[in-house]
Amino acid sequence: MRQREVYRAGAGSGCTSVLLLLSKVLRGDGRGQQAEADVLVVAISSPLAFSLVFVSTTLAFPVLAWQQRVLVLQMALRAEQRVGQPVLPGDVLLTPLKDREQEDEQDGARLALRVPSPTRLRVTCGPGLRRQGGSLLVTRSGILRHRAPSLYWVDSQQKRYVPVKGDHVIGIVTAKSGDVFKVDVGGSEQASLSYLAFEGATKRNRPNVQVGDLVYGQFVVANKDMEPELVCIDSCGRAVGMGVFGHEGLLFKVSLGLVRKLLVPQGEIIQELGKIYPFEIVIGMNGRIWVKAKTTQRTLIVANILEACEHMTAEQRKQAFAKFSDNMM
Amino acid sequence: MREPPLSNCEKSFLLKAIREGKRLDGRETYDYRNIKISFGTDYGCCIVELGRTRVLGQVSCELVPPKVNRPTEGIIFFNLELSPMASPAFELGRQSELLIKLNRLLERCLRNSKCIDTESLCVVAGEKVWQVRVDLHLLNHEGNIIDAASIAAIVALSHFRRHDVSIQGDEVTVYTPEEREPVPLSIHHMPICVSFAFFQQGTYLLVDPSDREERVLDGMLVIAMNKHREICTIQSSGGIMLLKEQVLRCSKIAGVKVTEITELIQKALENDKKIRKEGGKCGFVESMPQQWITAFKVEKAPVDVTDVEEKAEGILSRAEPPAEAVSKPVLWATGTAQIGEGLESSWRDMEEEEGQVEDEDDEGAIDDPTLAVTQNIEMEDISGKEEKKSDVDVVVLSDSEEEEVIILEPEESRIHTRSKHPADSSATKTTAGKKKRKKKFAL
Repeated sequence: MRQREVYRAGAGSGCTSVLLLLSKVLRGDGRGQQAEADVLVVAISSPLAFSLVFVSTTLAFPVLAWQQRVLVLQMALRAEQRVGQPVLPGDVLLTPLKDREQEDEQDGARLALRVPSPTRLRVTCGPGLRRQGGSLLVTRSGILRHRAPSLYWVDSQQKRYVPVKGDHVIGIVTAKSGDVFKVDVGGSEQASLSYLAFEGATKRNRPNVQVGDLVYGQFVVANKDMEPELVCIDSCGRAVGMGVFGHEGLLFKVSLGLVRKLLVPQGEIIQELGKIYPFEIVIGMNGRIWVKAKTTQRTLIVANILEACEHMTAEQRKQAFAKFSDNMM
Repeated sequence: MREPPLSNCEKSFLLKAIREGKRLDGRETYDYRNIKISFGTDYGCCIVELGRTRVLGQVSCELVPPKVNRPTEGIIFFNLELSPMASPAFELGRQSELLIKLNRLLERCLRNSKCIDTESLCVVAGEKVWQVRVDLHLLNHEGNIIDAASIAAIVALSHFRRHDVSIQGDEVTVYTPEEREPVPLSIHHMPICVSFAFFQQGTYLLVDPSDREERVLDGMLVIAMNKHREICTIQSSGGIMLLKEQVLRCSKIAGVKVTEITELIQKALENDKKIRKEGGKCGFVESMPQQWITAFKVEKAPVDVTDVEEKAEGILSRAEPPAEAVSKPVLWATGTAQIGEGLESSWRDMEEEEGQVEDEDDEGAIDDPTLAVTQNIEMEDISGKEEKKSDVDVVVLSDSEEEEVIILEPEESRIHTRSKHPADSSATKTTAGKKKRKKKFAL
């Protein structure tokens, strides 16, 4: 397996540090040993340093070829500069700086006098980001998002669901085995759901759940090493909307991005749609949506509108809804 | 990975919808999904999309010795693959029942119908023939694989060009594409599979079932037919009893569908030929619709407003003043006068015109959703700034009341010389504290 190693030349580093870095890359990591990695990624933040390294690596190319190693030069930007832009898996982002350092960076003249202080900001990596050395490695394609002060995550449109503790999901009961139900939630593994995890369920009084039924539940255990576990009650033992549902109606699957879009606190899509005619809806974080309206036709319409909402702007959506409600009148 | 199970409610809803003559994607009973054919940069490479079912076809050929019992015939080989990319339910490297069924059906449809002239693939009888290999890869599974695969196979075969060969005495020369134009295969007809799904023991019938419809169906009937209405293969599966009338009706529908699809294929082939002849851009990349997740985002462009006023004045001064239209009123009769060369009275049209104007306005709004979005973004930015500003204002206002002000003022003055960031944070902190105090007073 090819190993990957990331070297970085910090922003504002002078010629010497760039060349030092390069020699480090070529000779090893300065401890007299050769760098172990086959693939070397040099993440450089400033355009000047990048061009310098580029020129010197082109000169040093025969050495690299002789060492049978691949050098990947990557113009890495700071995370805060990429916010709102699409990122791809493998992209390297430099950890954001504290405000003070930022201001120093702008003021290049003072740089030489100041002793560099380790003032990196403490960063919280959300989904799609991983810490690698001193930088952030992108593991999902999507748009980089940021929330002050230091939360970064990638907003992706993926379809595969990975269970997360606390998520509310729609599952399909696939088997009844002893005292647990096996529930398909769209993840890599089936979740288990105890028959006691329903409101008012006791050993004597079992809930009426059949294979193929839909359940709306919440994850209490979800990690990569254990079987995920669902419950249909909150910590006080009340159902609060969870449990078996949907003996009629349509279940369909959408991307996880759309589900998040529908579930944002100030989301208007559902409200606007509800003004046209009444319908019931259950949205699971695993990308499953269940809808039921008065007639089959109306149910289908709601389902198709929701699917179409994914690639519409607010304006387009409003117009589409207006047109649609006119037709309904 | 196993296929996600079908819930009871989906099953009952689908059957109910079919009973009412409705389908999930809004199609009618006999409608096909949209068929899209795109070609790769090489000959014999195509992607056929049937709705969201997507099949990649690739044809290749090589010279091999012929089979002993058929020394003058070329060899055609079909291979359909279902990769896990198409659906997580498919496993790699395992011959599932479905795969074997589909492969056999394809072979029966395309090889046994003798749609390709195998004799023309012979180079030297008994020694060398062309072996044509058709690889079909399912890229996405959304139902009705067989129809998409059969279309992809025949499209790829008719698009394919093999190297030209010439024989002089004992010498066989294979020409590269640069030396001689490659030659197409000779195709007699185009057999195309049309699938019918039967529900409730044959009471209801649907053309081109989607994946979810496929999961609740009782039986399938696949008819392979060419545009001359010759049935090449017919296969019924699922173990339902079909009446003679039903089969006849299906074959009639299949005839219509096959004619439509064949026309579409020919149009696509001609179009591609034309583009290649003109040296235009071809390939899958060109035929991809541009669906960008950032399509609605517009970068903020800085606008130079340094000397706009001077420029505007300059333009105004250079421009000729508008011609003064002096018009004399003409008195036609008492109470009716005309000024200038008026047109006919448009009294009655007034209302209609107003309507039109409104329409145009609407269209304008539709045309630039991007603009609206950017405005929104900008608005947000501005509002953020305003909040900050207002925070600072609050500090200034409440100066007189609090003692902390004394500490704040020098800091602010210093901030002006250096930078804003620490100032903002400290300012907001103090305001937060003050707000709390204010609340207390209010309580």
